[in-house]
Amino acid sequence: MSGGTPVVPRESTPERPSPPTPLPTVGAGGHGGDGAPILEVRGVSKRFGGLQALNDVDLTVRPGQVTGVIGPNGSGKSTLFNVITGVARADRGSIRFRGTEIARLSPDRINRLGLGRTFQLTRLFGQLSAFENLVVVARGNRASAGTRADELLDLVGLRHVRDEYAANLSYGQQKLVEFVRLMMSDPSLVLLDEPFAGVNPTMERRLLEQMDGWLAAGKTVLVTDHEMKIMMEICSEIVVLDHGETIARGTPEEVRADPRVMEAYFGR
Amino acid sequence: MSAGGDIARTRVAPPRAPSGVVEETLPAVGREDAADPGMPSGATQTVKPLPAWERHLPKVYVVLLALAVLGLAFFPSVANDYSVTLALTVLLTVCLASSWNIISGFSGYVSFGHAGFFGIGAYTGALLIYHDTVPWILAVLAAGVGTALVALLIGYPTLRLRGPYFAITMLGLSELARIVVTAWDSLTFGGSGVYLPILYERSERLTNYYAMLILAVLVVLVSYTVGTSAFGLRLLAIRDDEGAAQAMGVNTTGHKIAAFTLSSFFPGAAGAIYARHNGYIDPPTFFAVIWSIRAISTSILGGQGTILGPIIGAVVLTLVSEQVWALDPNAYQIIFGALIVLVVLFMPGGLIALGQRWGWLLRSRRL
Repeated sequence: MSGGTPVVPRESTPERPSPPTPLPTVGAGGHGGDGAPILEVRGVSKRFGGLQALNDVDLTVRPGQVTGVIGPNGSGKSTLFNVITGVARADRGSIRFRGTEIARLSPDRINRLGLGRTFQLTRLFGQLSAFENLVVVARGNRASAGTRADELLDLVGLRHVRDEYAANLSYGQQKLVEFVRLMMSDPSLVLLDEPFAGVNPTMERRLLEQMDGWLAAGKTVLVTDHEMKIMMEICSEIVVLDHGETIARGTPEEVRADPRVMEAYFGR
Repeated sequence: MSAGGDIARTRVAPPRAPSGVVEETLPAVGREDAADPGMPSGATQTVKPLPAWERHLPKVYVVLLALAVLGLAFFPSVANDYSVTLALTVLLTVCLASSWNIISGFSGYVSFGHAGFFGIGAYTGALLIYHDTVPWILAVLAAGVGTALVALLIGYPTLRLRGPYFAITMLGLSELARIVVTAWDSLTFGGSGVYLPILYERSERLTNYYAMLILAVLVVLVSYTVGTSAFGLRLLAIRDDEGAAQAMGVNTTGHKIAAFTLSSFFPGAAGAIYARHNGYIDPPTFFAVIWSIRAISTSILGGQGTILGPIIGAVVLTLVSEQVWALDPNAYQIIFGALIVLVVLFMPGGLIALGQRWGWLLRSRRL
């Protein structure tokens, strides 16, 4: 591990109050953070029966950086992700991805526009091999898909389980396969739903390595997780949800200092 | 909320490190498996003989299948009429099971619609032959295409239903088709059925056998093409986790409809051939739910989601049930049912999985 500059933006942590460069200056193709938003969620509401899961939620994701969504259990984080990716349909509001309105599109159409996601619980195709899990979501040429899949498996050191059924892999290996599977469709925005839940420190580091690679390649990440420590470190901007409403947004310090956030997490 | 200290946690390796380096810096996961006694150690290159997506059916199986087809082509010249009819029944079962496998085995959508498709095809073909509209071979093709069109129409709404709802809906639609055909007297002759011209010459009767043989070869070729294609792989992904497949960009609805439509051509065409072979059709016989059950149980016995499974299942099940039926026609259904229960309970992957476990068969998706 060459001790190069930390690729994940960390300038917001108290230990390094004045970073040499402002927000995301990530790797090679990294865009500045001031470009047009890659994802814009405006006034999105979603009701499940008597439960208002999302109420007039706004969210702006800028290209090339990591944006976080946090909130207590049941605050609407997963619903927000499901609405963005088309798994659930918003009752009201607009969702624009790279300028295209996607609120009424099916999940596969949204994915083909360049928006990939992982699920809270890893969802691989259990009876397909690790390799097949990758090639199955590839588009275009079959041979190049195979080559790409092997490269990605190499990248995370899983070449030796290439032809093993995904269901037989360990949880950590499944997480990694799911992470690299995302890259087969080369998305420009990646949504990670609680990627760090239940993973050990080694795996955590490896997942972060992958995210670093994505950022270096100019991709954007929207992540939700309960691991506050990681979220505070990797996110340039954080949005806090509670009971389906946005209660705070800003840099990690701003959010951390916000009394409403403390209240939501620890009660009055 | 704790302050974000601990730099080591996020200070990570540079992206796109050469694979060797990555391997070196990754202690946990890779190694724990490399240490597994079942795995050859230390290797990034070790490839286990498991489902290899890019590999083709090993030559030995191709040769065996070709020999079987050749044998079946010459079979009538050495066999009596009874044996030829039995072989025709085996081929019919191959058509039903292999085609059912294309939608249900690959994508996991268990369909009880095959009886309906079989009946629709039988009636389409029979009525075209009865009215002497077109040559019988065209009638068979029209039956297949017509049935596929029906499937295309009902696939769009029904394939949105998942699991048991789809199965029950198809069962209902199949029954609905029987009722419509029974009631539509002016077109279908209703409950009195359709009598087809008697085929006096043996050579004439054998045309049915050869038509069924060609259809069986065709369905296996289609099944093989689907099973080894990227399309087929995506069907398997839908079977394993449809939501994830869709979130990964797979147009699941389009894939299911395509597989369903493709699948329904064969019971339709087979129904027409079997109608001509039988010489008489009526709704209770040709729309009987047993045709669906036959397709399903054959695939399950052989190994659903595989290519050879339905073929092996068709041979075994048809021959065994013939023996059992000869033994005791009443006990036949009981034994048939018990056999399926035993297979589901004790060998869920069917005969193919059993053969693979015992090392008789290659562990390849190609099978």
